[in-house]
Amino acid sequence: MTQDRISPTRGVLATRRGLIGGLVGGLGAAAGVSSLHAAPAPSTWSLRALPRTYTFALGDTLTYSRLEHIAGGSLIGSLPLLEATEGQSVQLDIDNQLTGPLRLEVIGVALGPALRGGQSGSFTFTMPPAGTYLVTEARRGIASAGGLGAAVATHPSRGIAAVLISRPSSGLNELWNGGPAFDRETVLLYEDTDDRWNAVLADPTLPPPQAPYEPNFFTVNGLAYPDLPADPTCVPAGQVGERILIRLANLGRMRQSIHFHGFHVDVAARNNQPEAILGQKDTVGLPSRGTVDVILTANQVGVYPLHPHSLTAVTANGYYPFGQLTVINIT
Amino acid sequence: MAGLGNNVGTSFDLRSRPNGTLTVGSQNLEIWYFAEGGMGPGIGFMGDRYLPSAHIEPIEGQVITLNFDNMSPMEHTIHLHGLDVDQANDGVPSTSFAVPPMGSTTYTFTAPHAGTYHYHCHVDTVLHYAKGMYGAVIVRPPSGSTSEAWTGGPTFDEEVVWHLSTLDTSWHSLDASSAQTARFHPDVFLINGKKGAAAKQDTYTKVVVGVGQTAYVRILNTSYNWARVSLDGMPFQVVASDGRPLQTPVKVRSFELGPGERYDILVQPTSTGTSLARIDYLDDFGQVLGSVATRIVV
Repeated sequence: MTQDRISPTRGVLATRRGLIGGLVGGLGAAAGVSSLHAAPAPSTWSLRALPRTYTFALGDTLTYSRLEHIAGGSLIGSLPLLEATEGQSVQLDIDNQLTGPLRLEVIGVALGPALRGGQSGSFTFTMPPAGTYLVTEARRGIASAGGLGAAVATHPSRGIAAVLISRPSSGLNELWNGGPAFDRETVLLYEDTDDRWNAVLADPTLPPPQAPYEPNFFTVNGLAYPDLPADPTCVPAGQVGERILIRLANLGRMRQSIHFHGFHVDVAARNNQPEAILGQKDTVGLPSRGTVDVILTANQVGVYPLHPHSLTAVTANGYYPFGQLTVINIT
Repeated sequence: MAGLGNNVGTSFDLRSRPNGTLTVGSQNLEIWYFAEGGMGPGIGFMGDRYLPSAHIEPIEGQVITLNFDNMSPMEHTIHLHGLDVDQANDGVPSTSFAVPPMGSTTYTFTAPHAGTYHYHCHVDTVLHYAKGMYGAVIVRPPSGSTSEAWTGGPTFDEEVVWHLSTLDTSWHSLDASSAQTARFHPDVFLINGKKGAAAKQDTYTKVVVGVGQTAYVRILNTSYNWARVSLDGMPFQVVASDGRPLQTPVKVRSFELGPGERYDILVQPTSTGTSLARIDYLDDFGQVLGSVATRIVV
């Protein structure tokens, strides 16, 4: 067998003691996390898009364009989680409360209507084969609208982000019919932001920054350390002997490699394709606008960090440890 | 064996030091590093340079003691990346402990599956790692063999470890992460701490192997950039990653690996000659930021 590439394309803390409590402090809640699978599968979701701010631990506040459920609905961190069964017909309603245009895309699955600011719309699609899918906005035309050049055209997101889980028709806790089984699951959606571009991405009428896009703020599920490990939906957790499915997804521009302390994981699928090459890994490549599903078999108790190994992603504007740092909690 | 095979055992001594240097052009960059053994000042890697740090070769299934003396004016730890140690020995200050300046500790763990791993400091990691505080951990099979990758795995005649490193030289005068470490702009591209002609000729980096023989190359991406590995178009076999065999070994002409990942490859030349192994460091769009090469001498 010959191939040109494998892996990627298909594939703290000492000096800032005041924040360290957050790493362990959130674990009481995390211990209770369970499978997301119990949620009922609706056939219609209603989301709104609107500006939302997030304040990082050192006080930096950034404005994102975010999706949120209009009523109820599951969350991962602060982001919507959508779930339904493969083959099911579903409808997605969007109320665009942003000042500018928005067009949603379920990557590789469906493209929504182009909406002006203040406009609402809907689209329907058939749930794809069981797996993990990214909901974001279609590549925008603001490069021409704002004269921002190629850098914006390749920027994947200003914060429009959600995850769609397609459940297997078997109804079982397995990744796909007959696929890897699991006892619990966690979804981790990675994003990055360049504060110099942040305002422009939210408002394409603003003049472009002079610098290329280079992210300096990092979130998972819309949160950064220490908020991240304090949210039980952002902490893979379980008991010894359990199999924990972790759905890794990346809407950042950075191509990540995610390191698991304490465990090797089985790479089950990359971009929803069953993995046939990689065996167990402790550091897993995660492409931009891609997904990787892994199974962690809990074989020892403890609290173990989980973070990217491009370590600037574990900072907030350079200060460590912030950003995309969460933990695994096994009891 | 290019320096490998000389540090196999069950007990190791590492000490951190803040006073290494790496000369790049007219600059002498400050390197923080781990030295192995003895009471003298010591230096890293194979005992001949500060970057990367010293390597160790524990034996699979054995209880390993790793004595650490922090001979630096700041806290440090040793995180055993990929060795799946327990929480107490994980080397992360918030979940285990930090070793104070001039303090000592002993980490204890059972060496896992034979393969390629690494260790590094996990204090203010974004900076301590970038300044050089990492070294290779090569777990030998239970037999202690230095010519078999794992029990029943590939055997080899030659063995080399490649640390892939990129440096942002502006970071090397810093003592703590700050707004100055918000963005990493690599301007030096290394293999085993060497660049240019030195990388091509380096005893511990170039691969010297005969026709019909097998070289086993352990590749550790200890940079903050993705990297592409190619061997002048020569096909090679990827057999393991992160200390575990692949489900299916694959023959490739190039592959890419991310920060913190390790891949083990077999080089089995069929004709004599000298070719170049090339490492291209990539940005997030796959564009080449910089490259380094070493020789494969058959």
